[in-house]
Amino acid sequence: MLDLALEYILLIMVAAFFAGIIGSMAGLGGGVLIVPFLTLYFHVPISLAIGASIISVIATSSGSASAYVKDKMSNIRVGTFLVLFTTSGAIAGAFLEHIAPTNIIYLVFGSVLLISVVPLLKKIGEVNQSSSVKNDPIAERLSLNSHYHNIELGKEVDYNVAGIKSGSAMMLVAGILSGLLGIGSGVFKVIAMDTFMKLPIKVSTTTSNFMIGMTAAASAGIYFFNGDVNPFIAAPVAIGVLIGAVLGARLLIKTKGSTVRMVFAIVIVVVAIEMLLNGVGIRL
Amino acid sequence: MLSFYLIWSVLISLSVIVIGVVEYLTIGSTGYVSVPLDILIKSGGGSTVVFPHYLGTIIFGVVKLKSFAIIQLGILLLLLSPIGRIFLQILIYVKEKDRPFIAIATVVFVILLISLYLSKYIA
Repeated sequence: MLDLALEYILLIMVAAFFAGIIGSMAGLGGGVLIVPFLTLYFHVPISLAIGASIISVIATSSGSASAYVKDKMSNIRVGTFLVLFTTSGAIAGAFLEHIAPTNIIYLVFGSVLLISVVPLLKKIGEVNQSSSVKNDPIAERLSLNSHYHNIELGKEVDYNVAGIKSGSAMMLVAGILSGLLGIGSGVFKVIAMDTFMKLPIKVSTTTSNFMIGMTAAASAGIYFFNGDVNPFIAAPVAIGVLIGAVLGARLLIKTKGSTVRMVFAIVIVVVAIEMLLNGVGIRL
Repeated sequence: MLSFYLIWSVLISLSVIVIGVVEYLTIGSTGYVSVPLDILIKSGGGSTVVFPHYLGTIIFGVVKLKSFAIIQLGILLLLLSPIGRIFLQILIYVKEKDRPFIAIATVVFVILLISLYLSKYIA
């Protein structure tokens, strides 16, 4: 009989492992990949699936952070500054939960995501940040600009940080969405850093990885104390995602920016479809 | 200091969860009221209603070596790891005398503590 439990736990662990790899490379928590899998394949009730998803977000964040210790890829200064907006947005979103029309919000942001794939794909051939990107005055004052190892050029490359105001505003929106819809909103964070702040794609996904852990920690307590984090589901998810995220982070270091961009674009489409389905009342 | 924390916080929470899972699989008991396994799996885990999810009950269960309490302890450690990390960042910015970032990281830390405190009441 226990073989059955072992099999069940191993299956979830393997699925979580792949979600961890993809999540850590694309800069999101893997919740969007894990929730439909748990509910459709394992018939896990939606509240427990969301509880497991929040664990997956933090596991992706902490797991990949532990793998980046030697190779500095994420911009922690940018991340810490922007987390100000996502966490305060998340608290505001939690309070708005009862009055906001969530169906319309799902439809609007699902469509926004689909549209945002276009500018992302346009930049797919770019090897480096364009030299026309100037440092934002706020970025200058807080010395947010930095450098990273560019694998295409095979050397350290300096980059500037633009659009702090529009980027911060977008982070506030991403935070509100997290609190309101119970999603990690990593995709919106990556898009904000890529499109508005003009950061290199690998810096955007890894910095988003750092941020989603903090944002999820802001709302994790509610799910945990509420009893939505069920050990039977959450344990294999946590183990699988942690190992997957460490591996994904190691892989990312050696992956070309254009490949990361492709993976991210595919994930966006999946997320957008899920959001649109939620909007019309089909809950995966 | 930060890299030490990042690696060890993951290793510790991961091993605590693994210990709990191994104990559950060898002894076959959650340490709490269990439902038959086939019903449990058919319900997607939804029928395991009895497991600790407050700090007091978790610690009480861990002392008695109940497998699901050990798992929950590991998960709780994982959930708290970002909060510990931002606290460590404050200390690093203090050491570097980086005033704007001492302020920014402190505000983030306080926001996280407030939301953790509020979550007890919302839940």
